[in-house]
Amino acid sequence: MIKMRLFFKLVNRDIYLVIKGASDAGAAILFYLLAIIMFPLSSGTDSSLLTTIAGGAIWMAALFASLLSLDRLFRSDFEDGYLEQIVLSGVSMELIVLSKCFAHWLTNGLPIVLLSPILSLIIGLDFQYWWILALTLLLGTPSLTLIGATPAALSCAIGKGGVLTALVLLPLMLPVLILGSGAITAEISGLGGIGHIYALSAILPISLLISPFLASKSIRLGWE
Amino acid sequence: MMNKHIIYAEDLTLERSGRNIFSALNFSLDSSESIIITGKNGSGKTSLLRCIAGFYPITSGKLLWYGEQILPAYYSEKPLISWLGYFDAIKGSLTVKENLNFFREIWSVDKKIFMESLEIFSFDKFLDYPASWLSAGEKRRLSLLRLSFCPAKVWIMDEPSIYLDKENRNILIKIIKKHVNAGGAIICATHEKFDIPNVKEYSLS
Repeated sequence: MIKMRLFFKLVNRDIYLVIKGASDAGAAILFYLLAIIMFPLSSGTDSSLLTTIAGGAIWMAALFASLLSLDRLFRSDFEDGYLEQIVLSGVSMELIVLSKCFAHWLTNGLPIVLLSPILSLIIGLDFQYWWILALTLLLGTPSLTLIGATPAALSCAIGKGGVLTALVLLPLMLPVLILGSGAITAEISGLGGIGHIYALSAILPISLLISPFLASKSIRLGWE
Repeated sequence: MMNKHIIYAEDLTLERSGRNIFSALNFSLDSSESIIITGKNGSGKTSLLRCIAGFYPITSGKLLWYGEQILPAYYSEKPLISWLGYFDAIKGSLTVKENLNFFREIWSVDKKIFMESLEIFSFDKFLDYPASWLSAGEKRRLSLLRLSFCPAKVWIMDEPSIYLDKENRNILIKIIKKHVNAGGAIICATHEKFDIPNVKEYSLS
């Protein structure tokens, strides 16, 4: 019970830091919006073309938006000694990782999911498919956060991030991207996207089980 | 049966990327005792502190906390050490009060103890400032304030007196004495002479 209280204190703090503008999460959401608004501008107004690629485009934008904010998931706290201080305070590293991932999802993944029905209108996805877009994002964004936690933690160990984190991250995120946008394409073509959704929802518990341990180990490597 | 010291180190050796930092250190720490670690720059004072906290794995030897092979950085029941390191863990975008309150909640610190610490450092007039406005010395004072209300029994301090003026050095000595008299223990790496009771001095070369 005490651990749960600690967990929510840590989550609270991270969300508060986002509100105070100390993290990139807010800017990442704006990036997500802008990228999708710019997409039809660059690829023409052919509505049948847009309908076929809309799902993939929204997914790519969501992926880049989480990539942007994942880069500094641990690094700013690592660099100012906060992680040292907190791991000595009787909080296990795995709990810290989980709390940071949860806070990241609440401030990055959840807004992406909530905005997706509106964005599907902007980009020209037939509105009857909004639910499958939102569902794939709901299942996919937590996985993106969890999968991204380990490379983000590794960037502490090497002391720099940015493009390097992106290079490590993108291949790892491929399965989620393929299944997520694949579900939408399959649904539109009439095949039904439910198979993709099952597979997508299997990735979430696996990454939830593995990533806290890998990311904790990676942060500790940064200290050694 | 060995007497259970708070910290007991035997033949402690640390090598980092093939370089020997220190070797065959023996020491123990009990309640109401202090250890002062001296030595010139680069002699491994900080490395020793990080070893004791569990951030660096020791190369060989024995390091026991309360007679067991646990390390503070891997222990998740309660805080074992109050840590004052090189980095201050102060968030510039939060106010001083928010910075302190967060740790107060994580450590479940009693309000009375918290107010007492605030009073000793007379920090109340800065409470609503963003922490980024503080100078290096004030940040150090803030870190010391946080260190002093942590419920852990052992304080580990790396150069606690840098950036501090004379008045604040006296406050530092005062809180150290108070902590030791209350049964706490201290490990401190420093270049200064501190007038504190029950002190063992180790010099690294």
